[in-house]
Amino acid sequence: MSSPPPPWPWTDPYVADLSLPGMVFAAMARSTHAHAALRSIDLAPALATPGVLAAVDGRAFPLMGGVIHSSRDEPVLAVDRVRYVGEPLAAVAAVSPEAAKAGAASVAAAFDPLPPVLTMRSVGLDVPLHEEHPDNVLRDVALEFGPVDESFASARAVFAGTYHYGASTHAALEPHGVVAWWRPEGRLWVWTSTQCPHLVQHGVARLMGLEPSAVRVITPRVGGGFGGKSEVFSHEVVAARLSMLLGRPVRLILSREEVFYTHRGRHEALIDLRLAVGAHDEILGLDADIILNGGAYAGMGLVTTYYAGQFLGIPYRVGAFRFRSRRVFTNAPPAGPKRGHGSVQIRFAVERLLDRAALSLGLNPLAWRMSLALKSDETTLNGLKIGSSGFTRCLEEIARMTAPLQCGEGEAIGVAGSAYISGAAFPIIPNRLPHSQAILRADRSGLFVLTVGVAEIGQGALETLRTLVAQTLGQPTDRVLAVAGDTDACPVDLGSYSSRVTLMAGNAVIAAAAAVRRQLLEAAGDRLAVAPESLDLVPNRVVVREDPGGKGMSLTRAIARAEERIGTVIGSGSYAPAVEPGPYPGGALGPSPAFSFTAAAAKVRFDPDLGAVEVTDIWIAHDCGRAVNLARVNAQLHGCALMGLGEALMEQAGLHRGIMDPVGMLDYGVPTARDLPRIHAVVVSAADPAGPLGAKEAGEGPLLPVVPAIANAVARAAGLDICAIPLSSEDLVRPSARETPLSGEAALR
Amino acid sequence: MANRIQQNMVAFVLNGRPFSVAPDPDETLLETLRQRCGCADVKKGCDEGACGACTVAIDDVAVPSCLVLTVACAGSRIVTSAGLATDPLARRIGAALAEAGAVQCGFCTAGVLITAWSMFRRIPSPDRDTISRELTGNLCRCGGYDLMVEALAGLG
Repeated sequence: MSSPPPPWPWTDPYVADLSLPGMVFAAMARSTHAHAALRSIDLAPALATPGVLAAVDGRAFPLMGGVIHSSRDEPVLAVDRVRYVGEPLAAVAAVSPEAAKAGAASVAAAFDPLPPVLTMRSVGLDVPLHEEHPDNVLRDVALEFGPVDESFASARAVFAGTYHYGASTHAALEPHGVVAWWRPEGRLWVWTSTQCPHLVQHGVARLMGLEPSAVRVITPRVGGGFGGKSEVFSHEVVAARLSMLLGRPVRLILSREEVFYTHRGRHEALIDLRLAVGAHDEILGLDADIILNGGAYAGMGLVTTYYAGQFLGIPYRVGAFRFRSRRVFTNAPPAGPKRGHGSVQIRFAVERLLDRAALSLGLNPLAWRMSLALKSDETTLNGLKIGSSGFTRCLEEIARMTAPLQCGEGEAIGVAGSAYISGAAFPIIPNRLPHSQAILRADRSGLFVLTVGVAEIGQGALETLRTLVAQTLGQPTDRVLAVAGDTDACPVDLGSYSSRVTLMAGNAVIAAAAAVRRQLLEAAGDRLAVAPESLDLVPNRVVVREDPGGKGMSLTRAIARAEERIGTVIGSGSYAPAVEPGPYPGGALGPSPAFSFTAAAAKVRFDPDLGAVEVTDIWIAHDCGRAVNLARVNAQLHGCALMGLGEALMEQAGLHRGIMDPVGMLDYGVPTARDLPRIHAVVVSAADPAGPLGAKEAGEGPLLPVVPAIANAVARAAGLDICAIPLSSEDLVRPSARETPLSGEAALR
Repeated sequence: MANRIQQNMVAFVLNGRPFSVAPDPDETLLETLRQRCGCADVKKGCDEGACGACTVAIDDVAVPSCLVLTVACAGSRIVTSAGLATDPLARRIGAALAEAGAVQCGFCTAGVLITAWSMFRRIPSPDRDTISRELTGNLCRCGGYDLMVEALAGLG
């Protein structure tokens, strides 16, 4: 076979590129108040706008949205109150995008302003956002593992710090968008830029009053997610409603400004942290008080609240720990899951405090971390079962790469470590069903067609899954095609979030491929009159393992023989984690079938006169188990380094005078090619028995230690205790950088 | 009236073919290309000239098409990535990017291709520093700059 021409991936359509016959265009009207009672809303001026065909407001949606059953608090369109500037109010469909925009702009709403809650430090002083949470706290979680007070009482040294982590957002390059089509036969087709097609299927169905079987969700090519496209959004539901009203396909693409309002980005966090170090330099205890700024609605915030505490200790052995974690409501766009969900903020705090302790105790920060490392098959105090751990090797790799380096005037190297889940062991909606499923069909042409419910969002999920199938079948990867992200075609998969795809969908596709392999070898064995166990699959052929040059048959013949024997050659596989929850309330949040480990270092150059920080090098050593697709893993490590750099130095997405600021890419500082440090990425392979062919995650974990590694380097170079992210030159150049922010307790008073 | 319509027509060459459109006075080239010319390969990422996803070449110069008014394009030669599908230089660039793993979500790729193509026509052997400077106007949120720079440096 001649090799195919190089791919032109930009010819694949994204949702904004889709057009259907009779399609119309929708736009949304949004709140201009941070907090207000919605007195009335008048769609008449919108309906009178030339070209406008239909308009809807909150009255069209009787049910509240929300991913987690216990915290469904978010209307599709505001009903009686608005809670942030940019909250969806109404939606308009028209014959052109311009007419839809004009219609949306003419929606007349009357508000009675309420006092807004603009920072999480004023909680309790203001009007509650939600009646059922009078203290403005979504959830107040407190868990304790081991004798924490005793550990602090018996400590050789105790360290304490207060850390502030600023909010940031995903800024995926493709804005969210949807095409919805209510079809004549009474089914709804939804093309949407999502990470979780099956979640959207069920969410849209519920909010529309339809059965899930009446909704088909299809993901075209998705231009990046990073966690920001993993919920059911208002624009998806209103496009569906407008299509149902009109009987025509409706396209609704968010502007970049609207993407900033849609948000679901990194929670701003305020963390009071204490660390107890024992006589042998071990971590005797950790004690954290965590406050998370959740914005106006719950979203996935319950998970964030737990993750922030549950992952406090990993990747280290800790004698005892406790945390109190509170997620507060403010009149800001809702925060949510961003790459390294719930874990990045706390990692910054712990790794900073460890570095301060190392400096004070005269310990080498890297060697000390090595002595604290969790090893394979350990179980943490809160019941996280660590399968394989390559953390020590990650630190060794960092040591090897950075040891020969000299630091000049104003230069320093900082290090940090982390661990992350390879998928949550328990689904958002508790059940015992498979998390991932796959179907593999051997085609007479010699191709294998995989159908799997994950969404390809640029992370390389499909290439990785195809590789796993190909390796199981002994074939080159280009013999395996993937059909994905279509809820009619594909069995249920929970989606591309939580770093779950390689491990969970990977195990499912391997099981499907193993079934097909068995069928092919049985059919070939039957024909060749040899035992199937003595046969093997090699590229394009079935051969006798001991005598590959001897009798055998072509792959296509083996497929044909199998079809003669059993009909369609098809294998299926499914995966549900075999993991027990921790035996305590909330013990289902945190466990994973396997944990990845990462160590990172950053070298910075600091100019004290300007407060300027230049990151010259980032080293990442990541244990992803066995790397199924090394190029894709490498790309993830680079992406994590860049996103970490952005969070550490450049990006901030918070309120300014009650309005999300910034709301454009020009002002929001995504790193460019000029901000690029030298990136040194190394893969460490501690194969995990729970992973497909030993694989663990690589998409999120590598981000975790990048931010604290940069902060630790700056702290050393500048001689400052860095307690806030993002680092700002203004703060670094002034003595005020030495001041710590308000403590968590003080903030709540 | 007929005269007026005549005056509002803007003619340019798009991907080697003559094109005439009657744009609104405030219509950007990005809107014209996507809505009137069927150029779905030109992506709208930010609409304020920050992300570079909508980059096209106007008379061989790479520019974000969201910052250009269509009425200013009369007589121009406009090239989008789709117009380079058979261009040998562009195919080498595309293959190098794909091989390096620098095409991830792909939303920036068409713009990056135009920027790189325009660069190589001016600077046949750019060094890494030049390449990263040239790519500054093309955001890649997947973080593939290093992989892109590596791939493009190998072509010079």
